[in-house]
Amino acid sequence: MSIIQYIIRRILLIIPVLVGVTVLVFGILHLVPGDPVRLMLGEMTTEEAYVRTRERLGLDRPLYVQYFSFLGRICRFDFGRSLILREDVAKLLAAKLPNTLSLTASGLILSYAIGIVFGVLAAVRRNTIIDYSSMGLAIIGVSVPQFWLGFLLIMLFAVKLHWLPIAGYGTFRHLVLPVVTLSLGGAADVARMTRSSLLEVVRQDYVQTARAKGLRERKVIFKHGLRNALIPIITLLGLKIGWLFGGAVIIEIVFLRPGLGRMLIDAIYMRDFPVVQGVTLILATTVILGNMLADVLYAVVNPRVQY
Amino acid sequence: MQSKRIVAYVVFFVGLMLVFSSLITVAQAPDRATKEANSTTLVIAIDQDPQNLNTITTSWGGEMNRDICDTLVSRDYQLTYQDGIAESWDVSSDGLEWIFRLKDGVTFHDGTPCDAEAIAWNIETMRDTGASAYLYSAVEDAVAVDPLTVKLILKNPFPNLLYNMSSSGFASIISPTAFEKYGEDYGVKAAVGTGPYMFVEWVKGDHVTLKRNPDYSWGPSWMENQGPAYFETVIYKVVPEAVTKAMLIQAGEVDVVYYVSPAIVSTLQADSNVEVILSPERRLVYMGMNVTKAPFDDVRVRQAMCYIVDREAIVENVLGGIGMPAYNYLAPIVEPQIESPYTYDMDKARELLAEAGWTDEDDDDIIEKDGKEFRVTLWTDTITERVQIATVLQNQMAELGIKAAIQQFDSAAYGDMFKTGNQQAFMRLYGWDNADILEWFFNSTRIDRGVNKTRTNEPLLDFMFKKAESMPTSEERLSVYRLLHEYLLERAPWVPVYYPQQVRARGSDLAGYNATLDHIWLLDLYRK
Repeated sequence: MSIIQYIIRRILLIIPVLVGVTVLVFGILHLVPGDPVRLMLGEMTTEEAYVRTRERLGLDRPLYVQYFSFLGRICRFDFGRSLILREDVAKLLAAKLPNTLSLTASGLILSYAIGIVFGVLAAVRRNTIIDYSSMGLAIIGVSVPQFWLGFLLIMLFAVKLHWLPIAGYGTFRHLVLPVVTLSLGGAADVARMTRSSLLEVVRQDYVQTARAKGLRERKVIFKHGLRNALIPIITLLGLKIGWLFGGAVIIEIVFLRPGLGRMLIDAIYMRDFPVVQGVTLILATTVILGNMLADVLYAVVNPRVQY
Repeated sequence: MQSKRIVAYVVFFVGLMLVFSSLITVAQAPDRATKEANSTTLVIAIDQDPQNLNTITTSWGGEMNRDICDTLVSRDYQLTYQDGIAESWDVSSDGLEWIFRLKDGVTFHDGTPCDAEAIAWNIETMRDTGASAYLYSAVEDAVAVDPLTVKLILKNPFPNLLYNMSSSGFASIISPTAFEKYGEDYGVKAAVGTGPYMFVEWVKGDHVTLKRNPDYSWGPSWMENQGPAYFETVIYKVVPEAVTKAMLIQAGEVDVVYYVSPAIVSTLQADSNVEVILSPERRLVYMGMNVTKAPFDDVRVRQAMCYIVDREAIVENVLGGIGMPAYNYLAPIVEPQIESPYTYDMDKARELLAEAGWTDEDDDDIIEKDGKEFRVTLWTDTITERVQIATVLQNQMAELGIKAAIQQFDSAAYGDMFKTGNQQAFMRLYGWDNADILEWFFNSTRIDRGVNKTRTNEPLLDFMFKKAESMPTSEERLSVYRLLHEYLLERAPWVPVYYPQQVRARGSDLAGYNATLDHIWLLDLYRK
């Protein structure tokens, strides 16, 4: 199977996965207690107003009718209308998605950039102060809760030094602290993985052969070592995308970025079903596409991989 | 010669004093032009987006609603009813007819007049289709007698009408023309009232922007400024995170924080650029009990629970002093206040439990009755303070030999759980500044909806509530509520624990800060 066929097959596979996601999210949301109309109108409302609003929002119909009507609309790329915000979900998604994507994509790139550099350094200078300090930092990076790191960075760079804004969005300066906060934990993972993977590769015979041929160490490490060491790191990429979206929820709340994560949390608390469904579908699609990208890259880096 | 010199000295000193006093006067009260020049943009941090700015379809229109819309009647700092859009009002001796005389020249932001027709439309639309229809449920008819006079004909006397009319979040007067024009989009893309600020935009999850209404000249008489507000633009910024809010106000990026978490009060108090304002509240945190389910179906057991709470210690140690011990069911600012019999007395609690038949027969540190151990589930939402209080109560119960398990629910699920009737004991908070809250929570008609969470069902109470709400005067209404409050305390369906304090913060460069229980008034506010 060619890589093109593989990509097409993966894209087609997205459909049943997404249907599964909608069933799960729809089921969970409707099974747990919590009534959006009650939350919207408050406790003090009259029964008549409650019934009227329920009818207006179509929530009085049987669950399966609501589900299939939702599914039908999704096939036409109509995500419905937010129960609480009274706005088309597609419009809300279009407004928030760029904020979340810019955050997560930058976070991904930065975490890989930092992680690979520190991982290679630690592996090449194994058991030296560079190795110990890189790995020490990596352990701190993995252990520190993101919201706390975010507050520390705000305190230092925004409140004390006034170099960057505390919170908000719209300019590159607003993106710096959230991206750094989001990427440090991920960078730590990548660094640890790079180090161990590279150390394993450099012990292989072909690397020894490359050295024996008299190749310069830099070429040995980057051309022969790192390229092969990257395979598990690329596998990590698929997992990292989901992890970054999870982290983005916290980051968006701390740094006041109106993104999908924050909207999802608010929607869950208010039982705003169409918004929860819409955001979940978008996130699921992105994570699936990310994983597919990781698989394709896997083949690019390692031509031995057959699909 | 000598006298001339004395006169010269006197003239000099008097002149000097005049200059100083005029300087001081200027420093104390700058004129409107100076205030407006200094006050360009005001940023206010709020916890969450408004649900909707359409108060007809939503019961909570957000903090900015009071700036966009006026109410017919206002309530001043002493909670006295004062003028709003209505200049004055009269009520007939039988309490069935109310006449409201409107201020002349009041217009909506869309240019339409806020006349008697508009007021009658607001009242009738809310009564017939509104989310808070109960506000005007006693109104039979609203008639525009002339452009500046509205007559309300009531089905029964309802002295609480003025309170309902002054509720900023519920009873805002909106433009009927705008309501019709925008349809479904009203409250999201437009909100049109007569208030000192006009709606500009609402970016969901981020901010609501308002701009000054330059034509405003009908502010309540109890405010210093009745004309246009001083700040040109007001931005309500949604900041859900408590620490982010603190850092924003410390850095001067936010001017006012509506709700300050008790956890960050001391940090803000230490900052000279920030002023923390602690004021009494209208909220009560309590533990409720299901009076239809054992073991709380026995009034002696419920009374025992009222004695196990060391409220002073809770306020001091759990809340860091930010709160007040609560002994009865109404906030301290709400009448009628009743002296509660329940103090912290574990011996008394033990005595009452023993009287109800609960004793530790097998020495296993759990009390039993008819061979059944005293085990309860205490429900709570996930708000940190409430979980902490639940844990304290759990420990106190353990001292009496009661095994309590805590079960937490997210806020959306929590409200719905009460409809099941499975609750035994539960932590809860309400915020209201009127005695009718007792009717709300203990009237048997609201059991099925999960509002009457203790599932109290006493025909006598229902009768008394009905009586109280239809008394011809406020005084008579209060006297019935006094009896009701006393009776409820004796029946002990709730264990009142504490009144949270209202904590707000503002930049110290602001002056003219005035706030009532539910709103920070922007009319007098300016930057120094």
